[in-house]
Amino acid sequence: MISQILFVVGAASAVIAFGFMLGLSQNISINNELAKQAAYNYDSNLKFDEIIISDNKTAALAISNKGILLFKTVGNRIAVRIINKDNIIKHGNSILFLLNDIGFPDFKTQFDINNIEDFFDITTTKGMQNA
Amino acid sequence: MLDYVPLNLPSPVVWATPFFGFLVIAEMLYAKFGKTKAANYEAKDSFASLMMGVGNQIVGFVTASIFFAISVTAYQHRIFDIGTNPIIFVACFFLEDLSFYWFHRISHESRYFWASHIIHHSSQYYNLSTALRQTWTGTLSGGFIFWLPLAFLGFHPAMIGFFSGLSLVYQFWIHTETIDKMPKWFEAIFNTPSHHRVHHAVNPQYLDANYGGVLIIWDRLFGTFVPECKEDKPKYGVVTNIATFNPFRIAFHEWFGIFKDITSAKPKHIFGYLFGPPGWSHDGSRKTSKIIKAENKKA
Repeated sequence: MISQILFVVGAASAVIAFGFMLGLSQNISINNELAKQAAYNYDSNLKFDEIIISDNKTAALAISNKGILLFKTVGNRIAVRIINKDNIIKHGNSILFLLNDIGFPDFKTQFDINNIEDFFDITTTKGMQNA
Repeated sequence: MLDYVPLNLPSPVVWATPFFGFLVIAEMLYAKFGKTKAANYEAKDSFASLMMGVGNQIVGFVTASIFFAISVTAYQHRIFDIGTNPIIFVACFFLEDLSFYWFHRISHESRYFWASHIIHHSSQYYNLSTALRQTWTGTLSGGFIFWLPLAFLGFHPAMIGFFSGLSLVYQFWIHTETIDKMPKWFEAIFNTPSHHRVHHAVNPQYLDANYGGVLIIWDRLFGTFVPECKEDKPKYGVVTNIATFNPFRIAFHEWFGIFKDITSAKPKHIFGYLFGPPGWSHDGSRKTSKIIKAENKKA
């Protein structure tokens, strides 16, 4: 049985190595259009105007009609979550996202300092308006 | 108690495993060099899918004895002594496929079973490697109960296991975008790549459709058949897509979600979070597929 499992693991690894050799692995960069499409697939009622994109273009934030949206690239696809300010920890221009969701692991990324300051101003103002 | 006489039948999955590998490589080559570039591959995603398949086999080796022991017990208390003649084999094929239909349908309609089955739908890609993205918790969470009535009816457990394996092997080739449509007569009777693309899609009008294993006739019979529409290209994955290729996170993320919900819920809401449809919430803050479909119809 162990040799059978090792054979299957070896064969699976060979198949994947072949996939990488063929260049079948890529990361996309988030842009406004891709974010809108991903958000629509997540919930067709979501509405938002602008997004701010992380420096390495693998994450983005937006303020929607249903709360803060977090976008993250997964290969050449995008995953979306509605989060709240408690999920965001700010360290200067570096942001740590803590979602407590094993399907969406915690991660850290950097945003342009001006964009992220503006973003937090907006979320705070919106929070005050809602209070 | 009736006797249990072992019945030696081959394991279709074991026999087919080398072909799975060759066909995934062939589809990767087609994805890279083919004219249409129809098969959409991401190597990291395929790695996750294959590791889920390997894990499924390892866990299956350990838990198969549980399924087999319970099936044999049911068979020993069988209602009819129907034997193992060719007509019984044919009947077993149809009834196994019907059992699969209901198992599959409930796996989409109840979050408890969905927690195991979501693994198979967790990729946003649709290619042959997606077929191998299988659950690690299916047997342990009791998915086999849907096949127990067959053993009680008198179908030999080895025969049920054989057709169940055969169904799994059949369903491998339908996880592809490289085949558009099969001949009309084939599309009418059998599950095909086109029918199964609809099943894996998250487009609102495609949700909760095409649960059949080998045959699509059950969906036509029970009203869950939806044809693929050229104007509406399927988008794959789940409504709340995961952001990881880690096999352990993939295997347990929905169970973790259930745990979080029921530990923070009022006692009267626990049943809903555990056995209600995926997306159910006590305050209506989330959406079930029925709600998504209804909203889409209104729009």
